[in-house]
Amino acid sequence: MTKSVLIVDDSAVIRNSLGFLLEMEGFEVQTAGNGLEGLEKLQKHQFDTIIADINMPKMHGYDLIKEIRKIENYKDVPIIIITTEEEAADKKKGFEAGANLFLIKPTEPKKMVKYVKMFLNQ
Amino acid sequence: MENHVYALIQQTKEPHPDVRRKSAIVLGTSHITSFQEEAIQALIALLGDDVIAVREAAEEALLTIRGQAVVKALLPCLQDQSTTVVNYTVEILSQVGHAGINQILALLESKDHDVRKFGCDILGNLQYKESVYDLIELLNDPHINVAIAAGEALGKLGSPEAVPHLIKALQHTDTWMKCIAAEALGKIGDKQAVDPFIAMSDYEDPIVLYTVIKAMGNLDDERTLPYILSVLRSNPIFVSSASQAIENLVVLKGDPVYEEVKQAGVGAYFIRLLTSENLDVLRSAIHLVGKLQLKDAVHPLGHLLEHKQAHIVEEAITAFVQIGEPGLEEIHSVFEQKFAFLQPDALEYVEEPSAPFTKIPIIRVLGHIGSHRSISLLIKALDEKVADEIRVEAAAALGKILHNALVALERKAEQPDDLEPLIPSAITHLIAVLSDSCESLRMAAAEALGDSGMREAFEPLIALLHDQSIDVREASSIALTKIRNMSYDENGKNCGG
Repeated sequence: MTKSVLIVDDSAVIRNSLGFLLEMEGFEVQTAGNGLEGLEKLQKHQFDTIIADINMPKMHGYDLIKEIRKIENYKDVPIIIITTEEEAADKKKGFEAGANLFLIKPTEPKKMVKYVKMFLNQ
Repeated sequence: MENHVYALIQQTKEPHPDVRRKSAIVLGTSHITSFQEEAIQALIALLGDDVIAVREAAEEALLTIRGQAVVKALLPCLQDQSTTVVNYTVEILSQVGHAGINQILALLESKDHDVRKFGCDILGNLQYKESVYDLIELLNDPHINVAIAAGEALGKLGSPEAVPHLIKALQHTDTWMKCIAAEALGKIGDKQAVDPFIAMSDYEDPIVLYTVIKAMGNLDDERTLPYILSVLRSNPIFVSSASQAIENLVVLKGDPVYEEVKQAGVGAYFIRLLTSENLDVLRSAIHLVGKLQLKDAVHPLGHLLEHKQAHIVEEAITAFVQIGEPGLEEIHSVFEQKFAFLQPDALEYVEEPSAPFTKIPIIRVLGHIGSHRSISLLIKALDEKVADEIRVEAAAALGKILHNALVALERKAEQPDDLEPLIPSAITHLIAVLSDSCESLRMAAAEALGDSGMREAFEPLIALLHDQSIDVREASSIALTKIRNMSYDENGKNCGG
């Protein structure tokens, strides 16, 4: 069965290009431009992995992840943070919020795909 | 006034979030002259509030107060510990930063790379063209995220001065930087980018080529479409960016683009995009399958008639009409299956009150098709068990069909024989709803009867001149004028005027 990924990032270029790359690898991809839109999509569809930026308007990545972890179906779903925030304190905040992996932007796109596959045991 | 402002500032610290939210709203709309600095600081403190409604009220208030004082007070917040505060700060400065533009420009020289990045973001959002050379310089920033943000901002500025520098950035070692440069060049839309785009190696990362193909859709040059089509033929994985690029080229060059795409024989690739979750991709694919009249697209388009976005339903219907006969057949069949509630004995509709908005485009297109089955379905849609929104659209659609029939009669043009028996029935039903309790429906029916030019409607429309609603009376009056001017007898002879 096709695995699905939600990409939440306020940069349209990153959303679309990363989405393209993951689709090429056989994933079903949906995208959202901010945390609130991301939450809306999560409630309508069960995703297998979530990739989220931190600096976004409306609702930032840390709050988004905390909200995701409150949803019963998403307690164990892998969440990957991609962000320009590179301080140790930021990483701590990310893991405390419930992320599984913290990647510093710019992460090579192929590496991103590798991590998504790793989490989905592919 | 001073006491009032002071009290409001104190209230921003109250434990109850509703009090904090309301105080923020009032501070934003009070035209504060005294304690302005304190009020701004109090609002900034609320940007980090735990409650989103409070944060949004504070943001709104700061946007309303705007001015140099707000910009100056917000700038230090770009280094705040709280991500929430930083994000709101970027958002606000992106809208009101013009008031302190020199201070915003100074952000680009900060030692903190995050601040430089935010500076780029803000200037891009402000579309402050004077910053173009500062941003060009930052394309070479040692911190890659700053360079990427500068590239993105230059795309938003749309200044041609940046083109040679962005072309150079296409050779950057970082993949994202290449993508951002390609996207920015597309946004600027300068033809100088065509050659470098075409020269990009086939061995380039697919993610970059995807962005390049999409960007080429914004370049009005004779080489772009052949290039896009050749890439698509050799590598259909790029179909999603190609479809969006082709749609953009249509905007620049008009419908002949579709002819060229048709001749290239790549149409089938677009059909599989009809399941895309990306609405931009989906929309471009719908346009393409419609314009290219791809009959194999009829079935996948059928699924889109149940799409949650009404504009997608509407666009799918347009594509059906463009495809022609098999498409129209599908619309009728879907209509009959999904709209079983139109049968007088069905009540499912009552239990599904949120649905009518996605059904309206279908009703509208039935008016466009104007076939025997369409009229019959539209008459059913006038039934009082159906939602008023749909009934109003059905009346308008019937009006359109009746008007087309009238025009055909005037031109002595042929029309399908099977329409004739249904026209009196449509008139009768429209006359019947002139006494309906729904005002919009009475108006739509009056307008439809006016468009029909049928003399049978004259007496009922005169009666409607006494309607309680002034809008209905006006619609009736206009309809009567129309009928007087264009009434025809059974032999097609004008007997109005």
